[in-house]
Amino acid sequence: MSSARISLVVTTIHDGAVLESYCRQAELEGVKEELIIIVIPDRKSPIELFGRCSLLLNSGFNISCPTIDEQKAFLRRIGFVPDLIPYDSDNRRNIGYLMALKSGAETIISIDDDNYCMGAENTFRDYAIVVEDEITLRAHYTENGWINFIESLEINPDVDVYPRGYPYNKRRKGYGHFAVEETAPVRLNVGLWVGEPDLDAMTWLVSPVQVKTFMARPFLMGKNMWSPINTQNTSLHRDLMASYYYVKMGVGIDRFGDIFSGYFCQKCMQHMGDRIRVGTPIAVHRRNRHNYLDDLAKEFRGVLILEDLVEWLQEIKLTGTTYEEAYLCLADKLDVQIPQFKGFVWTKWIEGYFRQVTNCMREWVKVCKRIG
Amino acid sequence: MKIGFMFSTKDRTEFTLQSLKGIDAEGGFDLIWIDGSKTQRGKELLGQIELHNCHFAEIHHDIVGGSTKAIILGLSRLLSLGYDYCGIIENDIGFKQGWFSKLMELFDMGDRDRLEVGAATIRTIASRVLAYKPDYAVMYNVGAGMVLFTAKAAKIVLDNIYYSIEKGFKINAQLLKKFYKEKYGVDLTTVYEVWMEKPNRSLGYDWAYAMELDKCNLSSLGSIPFMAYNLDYNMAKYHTCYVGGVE
Repeated sequence: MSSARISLVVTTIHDGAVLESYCRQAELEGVKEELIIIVIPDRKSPIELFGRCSLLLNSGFNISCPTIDEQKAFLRRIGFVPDLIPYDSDNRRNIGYLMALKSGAETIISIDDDNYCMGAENTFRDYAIVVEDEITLRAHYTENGWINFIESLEINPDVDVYPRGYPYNKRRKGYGHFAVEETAPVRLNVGLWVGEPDLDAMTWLVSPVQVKTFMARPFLMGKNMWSPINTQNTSLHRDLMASYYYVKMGVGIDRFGDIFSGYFCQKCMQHMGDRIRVGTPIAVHRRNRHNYLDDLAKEFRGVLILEDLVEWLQEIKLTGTTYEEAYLCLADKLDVQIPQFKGFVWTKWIEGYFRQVTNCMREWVKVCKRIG
Repeated sequence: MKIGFMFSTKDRTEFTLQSLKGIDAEGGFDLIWIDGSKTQRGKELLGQIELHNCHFAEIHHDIVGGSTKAIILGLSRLLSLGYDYCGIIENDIGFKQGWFSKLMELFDMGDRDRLEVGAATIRTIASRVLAYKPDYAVMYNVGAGMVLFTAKAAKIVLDNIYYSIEKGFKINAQLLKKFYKEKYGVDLTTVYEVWMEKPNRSLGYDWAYAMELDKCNLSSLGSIPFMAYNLDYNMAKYHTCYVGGVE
């Protein structure tokens, strides 16, 4: 894998049509030579995906689409147990992240395969804002410490909706919203979407909306402000990767791997004093087909868990002077806290599930350090 | 002292439930759950059973590749998580009350008799005994159904057996017979389950556990009486029985 400045990571079980829009944009912005695209196929990925990647490779793009066997071989080479990454799962994004790290990229972009590049002028420049020393923007704050990104989008119908993973006990409490100009280092960029926003299944069932436009200017999340962060259209500085393990799902918890990961990373960022920028680049979200009742069943346990987990995350203090140390501290604190949560959702199984998560977090830090 | 077992399951949920009931009755150890179920019922079992004592270290699902794959994953995870004792329990094993303390006593008994114990089982099958001692048995086969290794022994089992499969490691009735004949003068020729009326039967890798540990001067002990048993078949099928007590 050659050295690249920017790496774009996507997992897909589709034909990779989404790649065309990003490649076109990379050419327009003149970043083609600095970009490596890492496509992680799964067991169900069609042969057409490999064909498309070959075509893009032949047209000069630095693109890698490793087969399942190549993925396993890569993991063994870098010392990560392949069985810790399940098949038929968006968790395989982790392989892409590690390949991106290995490529030497400073900016690592994560997109979902149904988030198309809108073709805005500074798409890659916006992604790469995470490597700039400091930027000055309006920083948003609310009284309850929670920011609803969707308030910055023009939606139809105009109703209150919240992004997937936003705790229910924090909704409709964000009054007293204010913004002040601040200068800070940004290490994670949350790109928003037009078309279909990232809502949970409950919201899609009772209050579906469409996003028309992003009405605001990009902004900073205020210091110690919280919001769920997904992997749909997100970029981060490579230094954060040690705290951005895409959490493995299991034991009836599904569809929240990115959300757990986003909260854990956010906690480490707050500890390290780095900030999150929100807004551009905007992606066009043409959602893959979903059965929302099925999604609801998969999400429900995670929704319940998040209610307690984020409350606790807000309260704890981390230690450490690097992202690796902060993340390991978080893993240790989770091990102590999880058995103390009370309520019907917190079973022995969930306790076991989280022990596995923290084991994986530690393995993740080890492998990230090994890659360097 | 950290003790962990991998518990491997694949469908046959009625056995898993019975097995888990016996495991959950005791505490003092962790479990790594490794499931390779193909049926919906098998997959859904995960997380649905009410447990009281079980302490899971990890829960893996969709692990395909059979028992060999599951054992490699389970033992290697236990070792890398720093367990001092690393065991295997399969989902068709039933347990008698007090099984865990009986299992751990075997390591103390070995110490007392100046044996370095590498493996212990409470599924003590008569045809697998190499020698009887007053309160335990020395085994030439501990099996993978229910066994607890020291970390040192688990590493030997992985290195000498499972990680050597690609290099051509094999175990069969003739090899087993030769080893025990030469080292202890014990003749396994008449043991039905070794041969099953064939001139040289290919054996499962677990038949080599005790032999490979023995090569490293580690003993494999079985409890008297047995405290664990197979749920899915009767030992009479193999012309043998459990040592001491009744099922």
